[in-house]
Amino acid sequence: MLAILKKVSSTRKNELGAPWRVDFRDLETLPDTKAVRTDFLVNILLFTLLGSLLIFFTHREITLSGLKDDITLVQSQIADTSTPNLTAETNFRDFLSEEKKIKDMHAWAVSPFSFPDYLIHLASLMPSGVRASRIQYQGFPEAILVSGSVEGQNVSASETASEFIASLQQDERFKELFASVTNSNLGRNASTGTLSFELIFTFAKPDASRGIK
Amino acid sequence: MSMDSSRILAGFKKKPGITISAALILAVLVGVYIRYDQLEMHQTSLTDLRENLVKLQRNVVNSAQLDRQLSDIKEINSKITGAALRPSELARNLQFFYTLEVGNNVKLLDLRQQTTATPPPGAAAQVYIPIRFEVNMAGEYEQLLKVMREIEKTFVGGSVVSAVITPGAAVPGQNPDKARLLSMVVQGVAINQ
Repeated sequence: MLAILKKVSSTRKNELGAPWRVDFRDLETLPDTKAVRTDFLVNILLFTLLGSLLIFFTHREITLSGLKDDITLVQSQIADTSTPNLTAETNFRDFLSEEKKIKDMHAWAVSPFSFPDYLIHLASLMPSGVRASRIQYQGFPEAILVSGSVEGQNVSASETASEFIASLQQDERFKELFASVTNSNLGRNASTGTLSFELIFTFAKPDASRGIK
Repeated sequence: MSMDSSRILAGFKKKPGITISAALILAVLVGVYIRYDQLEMHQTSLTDLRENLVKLQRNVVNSAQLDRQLSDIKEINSKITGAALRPSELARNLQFFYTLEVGNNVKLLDLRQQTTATPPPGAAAQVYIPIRFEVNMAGEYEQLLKVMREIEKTFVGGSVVSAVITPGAAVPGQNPDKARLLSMVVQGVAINQ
């Protein structure tokens, strides 16, 4: 089968015909007769590629060299700055340590309220005939209880007591410091012939930091 | 192998320009490949170093006043340490109140240094701790007031923690109407020893 096919193929080839003449040229040795030689084009292409690559590579190397110089410069600046920086860091640590001592103390030692100052201000608001017999300061920010008396038991004494209490409630410094000044008791004391009162000064906790100072 | 070499040699002899160019292109490509990440690496390194330098320079600039501030705060702490009480120096601490008694014509009825004052949180690590005294004294209102103010001014961090003022027996030579009894707890700053 295969032999038959081969035979047919050879026959058809003969039918198509052989080259019309024999080519005796030695293509290997013949010169390139094109207007621009292929070698020239290949050379140009390769040199262009090589040149581009060299320019690219050189540019990167120059940039890299510049970066290395910059790094050296920055490292030198860091070395120059590191000594004063180390001193600054040491000083800062010392400062924080010293500051902590004071801050820790400040948290509990510095009271926003001065009891003697309060007493002086309370006394300045007391009209004649009003006396404070017992003053109990329960600690900041609890309360202060003041028991006292007004001379007399008549209407005038009652008015004096009311005015005194109102003046305490309206006083600007007390308003800053206390949330309320309330009168918990007001009554006649027959044995002493006075009008007794009891006041409660309740600290205003959120604004207490302003205090009387 | 020798055949390949001879062919390469023959090709080189025939087209030396192309061969050399191709070899150089290959060499440059290898060089680019090998050193490709160097640029990025150095750029990153430079950026990091510059950031570090800026941080250091900022530290130095910002700390221009630090020497003086440190010196000031050390001086303040030194003054506090010098003026603060020492819990162990009981006699010396109580002596202050006896001086107040004499200086203000009041009578000291009772005086105790609290040994179990509630320490603030983290007190063990603190340099300064509170020290408290229970004081009972009799005197005129103004004198007692003066005593309280002196305590506040003299003690470091001095304050009246709590107090009760009631009518009391007069000290000899005083007006009975003005006689008061003062029971108070006062606080000052002590060195944590």
